[in-house]
Amino acid sequence: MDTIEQWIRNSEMPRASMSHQIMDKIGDRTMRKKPKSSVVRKTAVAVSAAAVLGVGVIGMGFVSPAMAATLKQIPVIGSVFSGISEERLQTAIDQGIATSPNLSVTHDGVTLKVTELLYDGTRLTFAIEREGVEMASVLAPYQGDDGVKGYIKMPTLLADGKEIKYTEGSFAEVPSKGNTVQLDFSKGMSLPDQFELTIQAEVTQIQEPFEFKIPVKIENHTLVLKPNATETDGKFSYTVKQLEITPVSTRLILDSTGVVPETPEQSGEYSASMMYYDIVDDQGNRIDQNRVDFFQSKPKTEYHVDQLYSGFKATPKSITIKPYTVTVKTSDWSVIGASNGVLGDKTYLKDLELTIPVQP
Amino acid sequence: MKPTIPGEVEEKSYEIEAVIDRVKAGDKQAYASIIRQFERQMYTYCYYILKNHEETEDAVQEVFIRAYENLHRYSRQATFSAWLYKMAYNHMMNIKKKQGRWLKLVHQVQEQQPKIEISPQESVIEEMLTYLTPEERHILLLKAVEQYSFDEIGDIMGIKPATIRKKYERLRRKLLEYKPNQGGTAHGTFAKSNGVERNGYDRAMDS
Repeated sequence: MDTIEQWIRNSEMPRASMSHQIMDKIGDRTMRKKPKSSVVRKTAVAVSAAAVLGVGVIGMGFVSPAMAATLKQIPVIGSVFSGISEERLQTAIDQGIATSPNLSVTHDGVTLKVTELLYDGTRLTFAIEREGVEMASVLAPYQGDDGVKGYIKMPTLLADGKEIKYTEGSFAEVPSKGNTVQLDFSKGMSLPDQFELTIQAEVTQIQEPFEFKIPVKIENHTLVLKPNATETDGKFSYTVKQLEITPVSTRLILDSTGVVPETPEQSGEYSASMMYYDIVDDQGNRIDQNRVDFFQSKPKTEYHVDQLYSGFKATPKSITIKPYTVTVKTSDWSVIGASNGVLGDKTYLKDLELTIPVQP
Repeated sequence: MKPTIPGEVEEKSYEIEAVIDRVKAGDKQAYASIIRQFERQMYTYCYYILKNHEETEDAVQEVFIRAYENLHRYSRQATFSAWLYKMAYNHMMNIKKKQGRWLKLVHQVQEQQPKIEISPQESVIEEMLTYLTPEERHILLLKAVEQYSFDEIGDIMGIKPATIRKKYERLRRKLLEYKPNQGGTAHGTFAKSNGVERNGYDRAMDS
């Protein structure tokens, strides 16, 4: 039976590679952007948040009437603010973290607008909206624009005139919202609390750059904890180096050493994945990890983890880090219980849980 | 064969993910290397389902184009490979629905396309597949082509992994019980080279 499967596997393709043909066909097409389910779910929450916000902002007089008017009109679907709880968004606005610059630049019939900006000292996110052209895609295709006007190219970002360096970020069309790209920079950045952000965007077939200058000024109340707390089960241990808590995000930095513990189920043809970490507040509410990477390999014995999670609803008294593994089939590194949107069934390691006080 | 050295697997998977990220960021051309990475196995899978080179070429192209168009939907929570094959599976199910006359077509095609440069192995595979239901063929091919686990096959086909496992056992028994020289030669195209097939078949099943 194995031989049969091997024969099938080793079958030759009776023709040359089709990559050119396929790439030619793709050349005429664009990557579609459609909402991910999580975005749809968040929308309902965000809609009510914005509705309440408008009232709250005016009533409390925190911001200028112009800003209040803008906030009332936050286009919540696909907003960079969606997914942030009402109270936290209010705090973020008060501290200058969430802003609506609403700047627009028009060249040659195409208008770009920077409508929303989120900067909390640890991540920078903003959206650029395009108007004036009717096209399905916003991103410029790699192979050139084919003479088509209106694709947005990856912008250059400057802080006080110097290019912003980062190690991880994304530049993507916004699900559920046409004509918009969102930029998200989350790692390797070092920016002050106050700077002038310059966004230099280019649009295909338009010579003049679209330049936006946005003053950024935040009251940085980021809670930085350096607990240096270690938890170990004898073989595996991890040390939480740093926790950064802002109204809109939470960053966990830790180092781990040792072999990942395995449960009896994770033996034989199954084994444990690398260690992942969930974070819950003192009420047991879990915050979402922005991105969970999975590597199809035997776990290493040393990791430096630097992961971004969503913000807490309110600053918790303490947080608990709950390490977990998923179970993988060693022969092909497939994850047990994996389905669309879920990495797999989690095995929590209670012995390795670590509670860190946040507020006295 | 998938590499078995962990480092290699990680590197390969990591490379693929890195390329996917580049494509998502607008580096369209990087997608060509993804095509080259997967096309042979994809061709095999599609060919043994569709039984026709022309249709297979169309299907493979269509699958890669659709995957590109929907790349934003792909997240790393499944492997890219499994995600791609899910698309292929669905595409072939749609083709099948449209044609609506599965076996008839297979037989017709077999008659139209007398074996050209076919290896003994291929003819054994083809003959064996005719004794399986379309569903069983998908299971066997997915298991063979990319060595997927029952969980992954279950995910690709939208069937519970435990059910896949049972179905796989059943198809395995079916193939073990089947003897090529016992009434299995009703298909004219196989009769010619029956000896070769039987030898090949016995060797394969003995292993």
